[in-house]
Amino acid sequence: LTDARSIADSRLVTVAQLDATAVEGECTEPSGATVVSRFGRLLDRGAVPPLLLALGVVAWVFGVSRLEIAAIGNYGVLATGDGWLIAGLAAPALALVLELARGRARGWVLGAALVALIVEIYATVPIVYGTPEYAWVFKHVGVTQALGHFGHITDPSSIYERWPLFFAGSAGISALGHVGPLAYATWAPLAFELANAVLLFGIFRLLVDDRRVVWLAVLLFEGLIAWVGEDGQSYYSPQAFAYLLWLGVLVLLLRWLRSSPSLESQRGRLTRLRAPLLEGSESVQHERKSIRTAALSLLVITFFAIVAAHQLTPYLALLAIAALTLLGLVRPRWLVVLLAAIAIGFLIPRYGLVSRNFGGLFSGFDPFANAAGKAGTSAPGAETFTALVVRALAGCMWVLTVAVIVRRRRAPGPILVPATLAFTPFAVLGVQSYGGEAIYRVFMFSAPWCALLIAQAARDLRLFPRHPMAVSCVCLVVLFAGLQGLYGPARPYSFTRAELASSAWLYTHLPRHSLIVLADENFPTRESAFFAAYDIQVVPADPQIGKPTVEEGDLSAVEHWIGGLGHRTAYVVVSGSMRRYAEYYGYPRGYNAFVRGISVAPGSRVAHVDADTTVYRLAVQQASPTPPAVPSGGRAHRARPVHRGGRSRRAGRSHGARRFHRPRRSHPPRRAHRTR
Amino acid sequence: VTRSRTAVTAAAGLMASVTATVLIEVPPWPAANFGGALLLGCVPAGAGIMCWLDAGENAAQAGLTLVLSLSLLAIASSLMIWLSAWHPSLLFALAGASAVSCLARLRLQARTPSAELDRSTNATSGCGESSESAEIHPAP
Repeated sequence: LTDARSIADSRLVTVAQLDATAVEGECTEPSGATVVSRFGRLLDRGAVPPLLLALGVVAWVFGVSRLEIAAIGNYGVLATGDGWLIAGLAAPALALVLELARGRARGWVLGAALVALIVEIYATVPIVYGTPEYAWVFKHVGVTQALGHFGHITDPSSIYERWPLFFAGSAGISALGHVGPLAYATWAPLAFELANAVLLFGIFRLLVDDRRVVWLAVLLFEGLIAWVGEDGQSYYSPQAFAYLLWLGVLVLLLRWLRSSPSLESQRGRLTRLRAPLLEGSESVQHERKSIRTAALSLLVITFFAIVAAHQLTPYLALLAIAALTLLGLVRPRWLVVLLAAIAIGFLIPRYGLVSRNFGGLFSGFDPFANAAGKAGTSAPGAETFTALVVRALAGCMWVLTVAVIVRRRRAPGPILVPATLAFTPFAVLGVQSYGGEAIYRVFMFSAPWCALLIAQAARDLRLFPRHPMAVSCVCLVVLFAGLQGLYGPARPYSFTRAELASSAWLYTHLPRHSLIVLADENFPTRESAFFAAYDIQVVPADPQIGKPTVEEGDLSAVEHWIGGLGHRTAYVVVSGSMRRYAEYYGYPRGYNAFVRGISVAPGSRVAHVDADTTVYRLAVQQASPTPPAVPSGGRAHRARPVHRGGRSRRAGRSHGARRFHRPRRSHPPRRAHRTR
Repeated sequence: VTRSRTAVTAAAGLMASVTATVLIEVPPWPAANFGGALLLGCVPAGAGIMCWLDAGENAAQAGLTLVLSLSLLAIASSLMIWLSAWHPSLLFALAGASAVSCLARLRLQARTPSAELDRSTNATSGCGESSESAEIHPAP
């Protein structure tokens, strides 16, 4: 601000000299100095941050209105958007930091800036496309529709229906509101993220007295997790719901169940071991027993909701609570036992499903393999660039956090809670890969506390509020790195309304039990309550799903594979989203040749066509006893009914998973290709 | 201020219960119905509980209200699914129970001296400030 004022001094005096009108109350000053003084007062009164915020919102609205779907390229929305969009996205973050740098930061400006930032981040793509992002969201919509329509579990072998809490709750709201989940799934990321921000703000306030640190931490969090948002943090999914509930559990835990480890009154080896960690801890006032009992009851109820909503989240939560209990920061000790009993008691009757899909509770004791994420592709260019950006962001976040903890090693007590919560999620990597998704859950559970620790360090190092420009730059770098992760793959993973309408056409026009063949799975299918009545298959040519067993460019091989599915007729779907996906990832190879071939193949005729989608009705020739040549190392794919089994490794998969993962030229698949 | 935090929660819960029910049942517009359903899912049940507990911070209070509401609605819905007794209109019971709880809390506030009520809702203990300030004061 001082710099800004000096610039203002140099530029405005000349202009102001033309102003002969003295401002009331400042008649004694020269006119130029008066204007400078007015500008200075403007800054002092804090007109700049709200003005910047307002202009930023206007710029963002204008920038979004100029975005065209057709113009969005493989590098995503940021690369396509013009200066208005970029300025609009940057302005709320800048306004927030500038407001924090003021002598008296106003809560309403900070709140408005944060809300504007979150709205801009999570509303840009929904406004442009108007449909939910990510093909796997439509599966969740379908399960919700099915539960709402049938009113009971229809497929006990479906992992979604065995953990139905999120879907049931959503079905309840849909039924009361007389709208389907498709109507609001588009906006779920925005809603979840706003709710997360409120809860995180509350949690940070319970841990830190300095409100500046709290606001800065929430701002950093929004930038850090933007890329992983689509990996389950915030889209319409059970994991996003469970994450929100986990934050609620943390409020209960940190508000009413904190404990002061009084070292003097305790003896034993554990006490001696943890004593150095508790150095500098502040005492916490204990609550009345009745209040603690009420909080415990609410915590147990919320934890049960997490357990019944998502498979992995309760164990990440349990790890964190166990660590806090072990350090004596949370009481009572038996709470961990009770929560573990709830989680395991719910799991036992469903363990077969978990075992089939994730290799059991302990899928492998190789942390590096479990942290490796999902198999990527080798597409150079956009995918590699975005993957590099988000990997760098995640790496920097953890390295900085470790540095902060090391710096506070002599008296880690005050940061013990966030430090514990930041790194306990890593324990899950010791036992479980969660189909390659565990590393992203670890990031999600770690990011808030890393953001808090980094913000605290910025305060301790006096970077903030003394150097707001430096802090602004860091925040903007973090924000735009996260946004590149979020917006980078918008082109392949967003769908047009026409594609969604075509998907609906399948369920309204095709007979039940029809075979629907997707040239690639990147298409909005399974959003109907009746999706399980159809045999939906994906041509096994994408290495990201499993080992390719069919060369998609070879039409006869694909037809042979379809022939083995046991249907006389197949409805083959090709779409713009599949083409964009193939261009982005380089897989399935031969997609364009397949599209050309199927259009002129004997026995193929167009059943439905619109701007983005074509559905071919293909008369199937039954498979000959001799299978066609299979790509080296593969085996003939034997299709299995979709949605009779549990969730595939890719069910609920994240795109960021692929971006985070280093693309490889080739990778050995862990399993043969599975259909969903 | 903390006294008002739980009281505000109670008032919000009461208003949300009534508004949600009206929005769901009365207008013929799906947008209003959905708004009512969302309101029913996000506020009443949690407010019915949190009007008796002070989280010590406005954001935490609002967040917990939301989380508890969603949890209870989802658990109730899941129970109906598990029991094969899908009657979503039973979810109105959440609004009813919340309204009763919030009314009781407001009545208690009207009858009880401030300090005593603050103690009963645990308003003055724990971490975090017990009062909200509109501005962040300069760091030392």
